[in-house]
Amino acid sequence: MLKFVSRRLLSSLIILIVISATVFIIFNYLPFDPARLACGKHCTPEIVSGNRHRLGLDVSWWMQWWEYLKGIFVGRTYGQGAAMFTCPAPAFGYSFNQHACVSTILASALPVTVSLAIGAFIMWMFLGVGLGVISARFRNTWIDRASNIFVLVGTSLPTFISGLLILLFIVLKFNLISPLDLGQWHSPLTAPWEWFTSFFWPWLSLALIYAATYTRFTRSNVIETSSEDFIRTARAKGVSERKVLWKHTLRPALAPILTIAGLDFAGLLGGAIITEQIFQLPGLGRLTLQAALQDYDLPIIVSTTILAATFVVVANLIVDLAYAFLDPRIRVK
Amino acid sequence: MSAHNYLEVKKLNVSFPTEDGLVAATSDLTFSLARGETLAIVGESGSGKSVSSLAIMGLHNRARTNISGEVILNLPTGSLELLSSSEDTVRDLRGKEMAMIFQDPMSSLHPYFSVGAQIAEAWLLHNKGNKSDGLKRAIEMLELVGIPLPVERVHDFPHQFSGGMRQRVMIAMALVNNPSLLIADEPTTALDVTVQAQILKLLRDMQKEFNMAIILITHDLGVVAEFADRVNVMYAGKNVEEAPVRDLYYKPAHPYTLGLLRSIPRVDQIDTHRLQTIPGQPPSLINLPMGCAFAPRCPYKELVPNNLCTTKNPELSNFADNHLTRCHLTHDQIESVR
Repeated sequence: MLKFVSRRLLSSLIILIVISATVFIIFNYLPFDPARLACGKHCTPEIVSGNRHRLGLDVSWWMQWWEYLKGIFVGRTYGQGAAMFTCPAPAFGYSFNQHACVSTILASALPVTVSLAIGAFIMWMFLGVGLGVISARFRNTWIDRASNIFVLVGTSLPTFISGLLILLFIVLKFNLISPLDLGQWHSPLTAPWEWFTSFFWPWLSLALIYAATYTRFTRSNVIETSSEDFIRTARAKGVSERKVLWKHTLRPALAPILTIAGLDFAGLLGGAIITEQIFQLPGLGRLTLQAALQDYDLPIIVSTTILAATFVVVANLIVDLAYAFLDPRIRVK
Repeated sequence: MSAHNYLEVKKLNVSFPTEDGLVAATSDLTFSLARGETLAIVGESGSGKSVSSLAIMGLHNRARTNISGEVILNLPTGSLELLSSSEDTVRDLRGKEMAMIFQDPMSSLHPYFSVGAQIAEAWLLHNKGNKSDGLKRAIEMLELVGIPLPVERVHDFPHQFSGGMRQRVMIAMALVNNPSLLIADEPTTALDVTVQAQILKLLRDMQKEFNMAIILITHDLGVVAEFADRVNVMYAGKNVEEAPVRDLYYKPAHPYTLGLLRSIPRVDQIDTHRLQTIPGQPPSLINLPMGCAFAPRCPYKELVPNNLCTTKNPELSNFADNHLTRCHLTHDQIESVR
C-alpha cells in the first residue's frame, strides 16, 4: 500500500512539473509583453526594460520557470534597495497588476471557491444520488417519471442559463438577496448564516446540472447492480428488500460514482468560472478569467493553473485509495 | 404423492408479460419430492428449469410475474402453500427451510464482503446471536465443506478463492441453517470436470448429513445419471417425462428424451454409431404451437392418428410404475420406436 501511494505521489509530482512548464512555454510565445503592460501611459523604452528586469522577464522561459519553482519553496525577493520586497515561501510570484504577492491573492480567492465547491458538491450529491436511488427503487412509477423530467431539464439547462434565471428571479424580482450583497465574502467562521445565504443560490445553480447527471447515473447503476447474481443470492438467503438495497446493492452501485464525484469536485475547486462570474464571487475562477483575458498576469495564471491541476491530481489519488477501500478486489496487498 | 413428501408442486404456471406477448416460461409443472431424495430437472436453455425453481423459492418479482398453481412445503408445523403466503412468510423460509446455489459461484458471491461475513449473514438472518457467533458458525461450515485452513480463510474475499472453492463456499452458505430443501441450479456447469465430481460428492455427503431433498437443475445427463434418484425432463416449459433415473436411461418414454439420449456420445460406440440430432429449434415460449410443443420436431407424430399431436396437448400420464410421460403415442408404439 505504501509503495502504491508513494508511486502515485511521485507520478503526480511529475505531472505538476510538466503542467507548470507547459504554461510557461505557452506564455513565452504569446504575442504580448507584460513589461509593456505594466508600464502605463507615459512609457519609455527604459521603463519597459526596467520593468522587464524587475519582473524577471529578461531571462529565458526555463530560467523564469526555475525561479518560479524555487520561489514556492524558499520565497522570492524582487527589486533592489528601497524598492526591494519579499514574498515569503510559498511564493507563487508577484502580480504587478494587483501589486501583491500571488500567494496573498490566492489566499483571499481560495476560501470563496472552496465554499462554492463544497456546498454545491454536498447539494448535488444528496439530490442526485438520493433521487437516483429513489427512482431506481420505484422505477417505472410516477416518481421515476418525475425524476426523469428533472434530469431532462437539469441536463439541458447550462449553468449560464440557470444561473442567470436564478439571479433574475431571486435577486431582481423577489429581492431575496440584495444586489448590493452580491459578491460580498462572509467567512463561515465569523458569520455562518450570512455565508450560507450568500452562497445558497450559487450552490443551487451549480448543483442543478450535476445533480441531474448524477441522478441518471445513480439510477442506471443501481438498476444494473440489482440484476447481479449476488443480489439474487442475497434474496435467496432471506435478506429483506430494504437490506438488499442498502447493504448489498448501494455499495457496488455507488463505487463508480465516487470516482466521478471526486474528479468533478476537484475540477470545481480549480474555480467555477461561469458561476463565479454570474454571482460576482471573487473566487479562483474569476481571478483566472481576469488574469487571462484582461491583465495578462502570468504569475496568477500559472499559479491558478497549477493549483487546479494539483486539486485534480490529489483528488485522483484520494479516489483511487477510497475505491481500494470500498472494493476488496482492487486492494493492493 | 405420498404423505411423507416434503415438497409438492402442483400445476405450477409461470409467465412473464412482455411487449411481445405473454412468455409462458413454465406451464402445468407437477412433481413432488421427499427429504433425502434427489430430483434432477433436465432440459435445454429456456425450457423453464430455472424459472420453476425460482418460483418455488419465491424469488420472482410478484408484480412482474404471473404465477399460479400450488407449491406446498410439508413443514413439521404443518403444510404451507407458498404462492398464497405473504412475502414475509416466504422470505423467512428462504435460507432456513429452502436454500439455493447457483451456476456461477463467482458472480453469485458478493464481491465486497468476506466469505465469512456472507455465511454469517445467512445464519444471523434466521438465528439469534451476534457477529462473532455467526463467524464461528461460518468457520464450522467452511470446515464441513472442505475448505482448508477455515479459520484464516473465513476473512478472505470471494476473488481469492478458486472456482471449486467458491462453489464450496456457496454450499456452506446455503446449508448454514440446515435447510430441508436445496435447489442446485446448474451447480457444476461453470467448473471443470474433476472439480465437478468433487462438488457432486460434497453435495451427496451433505445430503446424507442433513437429510435434504435436493432439486438438481442441469442439462448434463452424465451428472444426472451419477447423482439423481428421479429425473424430470422439461421441454418448452412443461415436464414431458418423469421417471426413476435407471428407467429414464434404459426405458425412455418420450420422443424428446429419446432424442436427447441418442445425441450423447457413448464410449462404447464411437466407431459404429453416428450421433443423432433433434432437428429444428425449440419453439418460442410466446406463441407455443397448438398441441404438443415437441410435435414440430417429433419424428413419430405420423404414428398418431387424426393429427392429434398438432391439435391436442397431451396430458401427463402413467407409462409404467412411477414413470410418467406426456405423449400421445401408446405404450406399445413407444416400446417399438425406442
